[in-house]
Amino acid sequence: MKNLLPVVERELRVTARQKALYVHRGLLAFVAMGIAGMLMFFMWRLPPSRMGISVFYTLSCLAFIHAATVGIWITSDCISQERREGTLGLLFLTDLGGLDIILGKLTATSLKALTGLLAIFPVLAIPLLLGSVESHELWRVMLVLGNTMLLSLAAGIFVSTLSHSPKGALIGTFLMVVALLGGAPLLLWLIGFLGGESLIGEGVFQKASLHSAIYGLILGFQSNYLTEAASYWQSLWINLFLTIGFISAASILLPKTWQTEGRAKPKRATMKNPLSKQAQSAQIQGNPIAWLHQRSTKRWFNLWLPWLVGLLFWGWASYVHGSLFYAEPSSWVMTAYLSSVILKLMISSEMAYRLSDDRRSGALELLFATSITTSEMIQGHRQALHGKYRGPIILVSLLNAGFGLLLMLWDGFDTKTTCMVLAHLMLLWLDLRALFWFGLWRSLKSPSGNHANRTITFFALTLPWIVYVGMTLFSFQIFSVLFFGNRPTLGLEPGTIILATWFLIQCPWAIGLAILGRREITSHFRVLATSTSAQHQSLPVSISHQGVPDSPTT
Amino acid sequence: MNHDPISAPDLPVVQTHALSRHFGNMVALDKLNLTIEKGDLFGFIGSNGAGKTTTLRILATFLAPSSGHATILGHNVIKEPDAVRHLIGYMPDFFGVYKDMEVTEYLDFFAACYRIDSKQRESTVSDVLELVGLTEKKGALIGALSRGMQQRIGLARVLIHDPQLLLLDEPASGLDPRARIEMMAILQELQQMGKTIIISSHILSELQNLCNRVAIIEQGKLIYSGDVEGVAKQLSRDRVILASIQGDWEKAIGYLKARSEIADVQWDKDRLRITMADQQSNVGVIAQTLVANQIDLLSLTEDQLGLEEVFMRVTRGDTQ
Repeated sequence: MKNLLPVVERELRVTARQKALYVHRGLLAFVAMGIAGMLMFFMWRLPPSRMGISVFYTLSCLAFIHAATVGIWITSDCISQERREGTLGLLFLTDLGGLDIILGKLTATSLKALTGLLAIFPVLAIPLLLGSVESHELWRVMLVLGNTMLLSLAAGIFVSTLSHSPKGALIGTFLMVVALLGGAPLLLWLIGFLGGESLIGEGVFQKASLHSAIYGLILGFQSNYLTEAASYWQSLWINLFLTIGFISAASILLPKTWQTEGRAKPKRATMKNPLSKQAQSAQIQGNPIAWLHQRSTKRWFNLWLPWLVGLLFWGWASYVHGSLFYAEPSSWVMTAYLSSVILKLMISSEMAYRLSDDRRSGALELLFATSITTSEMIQGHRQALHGKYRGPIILVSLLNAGFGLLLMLWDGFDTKTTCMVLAHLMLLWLDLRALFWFGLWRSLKSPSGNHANRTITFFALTLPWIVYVGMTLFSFQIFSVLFFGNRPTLGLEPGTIILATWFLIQCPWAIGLAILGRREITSHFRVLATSTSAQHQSLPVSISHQGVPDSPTT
Repeated sequence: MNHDPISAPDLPVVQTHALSRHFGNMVALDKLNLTIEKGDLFGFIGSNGAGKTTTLRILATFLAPSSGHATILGHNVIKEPDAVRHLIGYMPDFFGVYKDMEVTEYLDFFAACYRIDSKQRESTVSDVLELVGLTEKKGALIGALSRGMQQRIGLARVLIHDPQLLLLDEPASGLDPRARIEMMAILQELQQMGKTIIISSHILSELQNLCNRVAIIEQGKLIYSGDVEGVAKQLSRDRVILASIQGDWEKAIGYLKARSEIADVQWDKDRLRITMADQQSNVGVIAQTLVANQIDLLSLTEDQLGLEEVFMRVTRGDTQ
């Protein structure tokens, strides 16, 4: 602990010099102000107190999502990256202990998250001025947000201490955050659902939810706090203890795990099977890049596990609930939608790590020194994606088409349902194309696989939905203002308008991303692949190593 | 497109004309003129940041020059990059290996990238592995091999398509003495096979023994390009002769200093260190003077500066 302050001071200095810190803070403040402004515009007819409470609840929920997910994006790979690059050992050669390193990392990483959260707070306090919330309520919510942010960062550091690969660290932290936010209630619900009856009483469910920061946030709002004040504080303390527990566990584990890095026995990527030699040779001859990205033997398990779990869930739920489950249209819609989301997330993740690691190691540059052309390279990536995901893509397409058909039959081939099913299938296809091109480009451009994953997930899968929801609300409000509260139907049902808006936003969005990615990749693949070489690998990396240096090595 | 160098036997393997490269305001390469002939083992010497890697990356078609041009066996590196890539083998100063691949798998993969037919690939891989002395490691995982062996795999990769020109950026960096000596022996063998090799290195004593020609580059500018033997003559300002004598050395210094051809004489341990007035001065005056004054001359040798000494004298070590 005696070495902690100099480490923290140094880390804060390094972090304070980063432009991203200020961009992130400014962006969050801008988004918060934009949302608050839009909400106030929508509710201009309402009294200020009601307007304020809506702003407060909406911003609190959005700030909570930010606070809960910072660990996934910021800390999940902070220790594992140093372990991979062999710089963690350099820190242990000094007088630093496990706790010094963990707290130093936490300080450095929490600065960005904290300044982001602080940028939202002034906007969150506007309802206070409008007389919508009391100061106690505001502080309670702020306390939950800060506590949740620390918990998320600590969970990320803990997972990072145990992880080696960036992808593993990211997925591990995501699952950990999901478990922390709703693991116990979700498990209880699942047991109840699969058990066929509600086995757990209301009291047990509430007790089990105490660990969840979401529950803490809900209890922090005035209407709930009046009756459940004790539960609010219990939830807060539980989360604080969990944070301390993660930090302590990481500090204890780190000195025991850092030496495992470079000494881990390298694992064979391809099968040592003499029968496959000939097939392998033929595949290499066809397109070496396609072979390179399909050669992993782990793919079967990783690819089919989610579908296997889904199948088991469906089978068991159908057995327990009978036609109440399998003949229910909502089950079909949810299954189709979830399966397409899972497939998109899998492909997004696959594309994110495609090139970023090879570019950083310099392996990609070596490929460009050969006779391989850019178009062969792209073709190889396309073939590899098809080869690797052919099964899941066919499965999800059939699943979506099958459930779509069932839904159309159920609704007697109603025009709206038919259009929705066809639009969904078309968007699935368009999104997969967008994920390939946009993903390939971001994977090449981003400083790390995790960064690429974050960018692809946000721009290709999340932002269109945010735009859609915003546009829908906005357009309804605009019409409401123009037509003095009488929303125009244009001869259409509101459901049809919502469906049309969804399609008209998502479809050009996916096409736009695909065109953008394709143009960048086809024009600048070689330049992007060779402009930032891997020579930085030999440089000593500080506790807060930040990606690839841009300067040329002469 | 004809990539066959036999069609142009008289062309220099590498020729650059006023080759420059800027990164913003920084001049990494400043009007570099370089000619490298077939069969040369060419040492490329310079401080960190002098412009060596930039030059090699331009020749390897990874980087476009800001101005000037470069040709490899008559093919312009910017206008005909595909032709150039067939002619060169580029080994950067990092490994860039796939650690989860077997040695043969890795080389087979790169052979396919060079469009070598599947029937030929197996024998080609065996040949290059034998050349770099890794035949017994062909089934090993690359990640499990030592740094020296990974470097040799890098060299095998470079040789897989039988290129005419090898561009090797610091191939011996980080290797232990044995691995370095073995690497140098392989390079000599490759030179004997008719390959032209450009090697950038900081280990100048080894380059002195290995290379037949060298170039010294400082802050992007070419200071010297030519024979290893000529580098000392051309770049050292003074011509120094060492003379061993028997007799009164103080008198000998007096006699020699009186000659106009001699600039300075000093007693250095057990011999005279004579600095000639200029590079063309006749060394014979030393013997004549000493013999005329009845001082026995035991030996007379020219003090040849090593590559390291020359490098230290002509460069300031400024980096950009």
